[in-house]
Amino acid sequence: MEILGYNMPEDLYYDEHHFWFRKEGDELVVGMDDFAIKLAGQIVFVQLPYEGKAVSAGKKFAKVESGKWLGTVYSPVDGEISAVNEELEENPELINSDCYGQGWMYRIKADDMSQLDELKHGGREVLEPWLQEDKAKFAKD
Amino acid sequence: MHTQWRLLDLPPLTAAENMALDAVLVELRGQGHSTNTLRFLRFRPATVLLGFHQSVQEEVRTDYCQAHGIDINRRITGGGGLLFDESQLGWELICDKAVFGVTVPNTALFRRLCQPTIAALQNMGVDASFRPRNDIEVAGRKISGTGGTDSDAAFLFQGTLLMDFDVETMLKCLRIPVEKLKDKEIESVRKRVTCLAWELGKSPDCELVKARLVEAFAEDLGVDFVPGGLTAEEEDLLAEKLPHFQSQEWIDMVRPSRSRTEVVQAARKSPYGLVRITLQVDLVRNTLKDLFITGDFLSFPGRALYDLESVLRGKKIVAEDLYTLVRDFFASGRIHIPDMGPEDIIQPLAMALAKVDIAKAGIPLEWCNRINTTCASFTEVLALGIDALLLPYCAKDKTCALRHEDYCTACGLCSVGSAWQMGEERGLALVCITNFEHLQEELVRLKARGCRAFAGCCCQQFFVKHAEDFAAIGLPGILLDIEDTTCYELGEERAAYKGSYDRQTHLNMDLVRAILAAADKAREGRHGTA
Ligand code: SF4
Ligand code: SF4
Repeated sequence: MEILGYNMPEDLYYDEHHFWFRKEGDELVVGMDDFAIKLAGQIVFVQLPYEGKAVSAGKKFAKVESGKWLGTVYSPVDGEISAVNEELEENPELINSDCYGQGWMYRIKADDMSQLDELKHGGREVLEPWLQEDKAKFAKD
Repeated sequence: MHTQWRLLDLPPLTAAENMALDAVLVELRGQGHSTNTLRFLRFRPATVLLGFHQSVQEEVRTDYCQAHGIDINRRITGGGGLLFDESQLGWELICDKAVFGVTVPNTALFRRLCQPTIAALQNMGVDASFRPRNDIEVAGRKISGTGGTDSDAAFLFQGTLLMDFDVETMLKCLRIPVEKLKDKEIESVRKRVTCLAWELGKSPDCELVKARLVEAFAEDLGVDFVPGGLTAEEEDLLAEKLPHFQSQEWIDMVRPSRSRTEVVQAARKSPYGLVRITLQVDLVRNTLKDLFITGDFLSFPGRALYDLESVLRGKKIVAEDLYTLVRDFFASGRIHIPDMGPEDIIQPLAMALAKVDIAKAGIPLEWCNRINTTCASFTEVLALGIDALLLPYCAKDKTCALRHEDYCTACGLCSVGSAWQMGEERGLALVCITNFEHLQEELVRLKARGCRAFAGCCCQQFFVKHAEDFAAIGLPGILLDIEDTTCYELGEERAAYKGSYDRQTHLNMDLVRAILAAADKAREGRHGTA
């Protein structure tokens, strides 16, 4: 779904830092959304935590570097890392080229999916006002 | 009344203390504790500071640092390695994200965060300006860099300001590929950076610089700074975190499983000058970590070459994309080199990229700089198929009756015989080259007879001088450097050209073997998929 020039798939959940989360069974797939990528530019490094690492809702668990900015990834749920995208170690720019596909970052096995309710999720009527607001805040120069 | 921020200006600390304190300040601020802060940092002892994801092994000359009491540590922010000696000054803002109204910094914010430093520098009479995306320069020469990170509700932004610059020590501490650069070129590396001492013509007064920065930040943020110390909570957390930042685990946190950085170099001589390209390449990520464009030509304006370097730095190694960047840069009028155009940069760049291919073909990189290619990339030559092997007379035994003949009977007395035999085993067309005209004739003849590509041995100087002649003939090939004194070093190239050079060189047989093996592999590949 295209909103204000950004590709924002409707089936995903988004956090305020513009990371997306996709439900797959009892797992969550995690990545950066199109808005974040356009803001960040070339991704040069993604920290890949070990599988089995415990994560908790609202707490940081990894770092992503673009330019000289080291950004933080927060988990929306309690659970543990069940997989990381090893490809990103050598090819972090997969995030730039295909952020919802090959550029996925982590899988989290969630204890309680209902924690996702805190995130942005839904159609244009939900996402557009949020993006509109962020676009205004982040407007370049 | 203005909001009050803390001004935290502690005496110089060790690297581990400084890094632990960064982590403490941003973490607590992120949880809503403490106050917004402007902090100055100084280091004692001098420290090599790496970016969060860099590896000591790849970036630092640890032996030198240990021998000279220079600490090594890692920042909690991104970016590249730098030497923070005792004269340098760093600043940091640790504040609520709400101050800037965003959760992730954007281009405009990076630019804005450079403004106070620019204002402070201008105030001191230094004509500083912003260089996207987060640096500050003076007439094209970098004087300050910034970076940052976040933790929950807080940002930490930081910047360095080069007060004085000890180029020699920096080059000795960091693995910047300068050993490959000639003295004159190191001088030009020096021109890519500047520092306050050079700009002011005297050592800057650190307290004065701090005062200017404080004024500028106060003005920019519309706040008042009140000097303060650490809170009890900060002290406690610092004591708790310090051992981690002192530990080898933290310092060695990033350890690449295989070596990923290599340096390749290529030079091309034209009537207007020599252009040398030095590339530091991340082979695993296939990116240009760093590069130097040097040579004996003049370019205008003075900063143009450094700007061109920064356009290419960090990019993926996709030859055509890089060439386009170079062409666009020239087309935009940002550089002028008398009698030279983009192609004069692109050609040596292509030669250097060819060496990257060589490395990828599994040939040890220490040999890379001894291999040149003509009319095609290394990979392309191998893919086409090597049909001929050309060997120079100068490598033949001096007493051999066949020294000036175009063949060899592989009697075993010299390296030409060993190479000849390897060529025979593979059914290659074999020729011993006796002088320059002979070489030209042979290449033309091979091409006419449908030879797809050739391998040959000759000294590097010979290739550099005749690169254009090879290109004109148009037969793709790989040229391998030879061993021992070459006639160029002895000033006997006229004699060599005519075929009367009377010393003996030697083929680098390891190199010949490696290339023929790579060719065998490529041939098997071709047949396998045919
Ligand atoms: S190997 Fe060939 S070139 Fe060398 S001495 Fe014997 S015949 Fe002459
Ligand atoms: S230029 Fe001299 S040293 Fe170089 S290949 Fe020719 S004869 Fe040998």
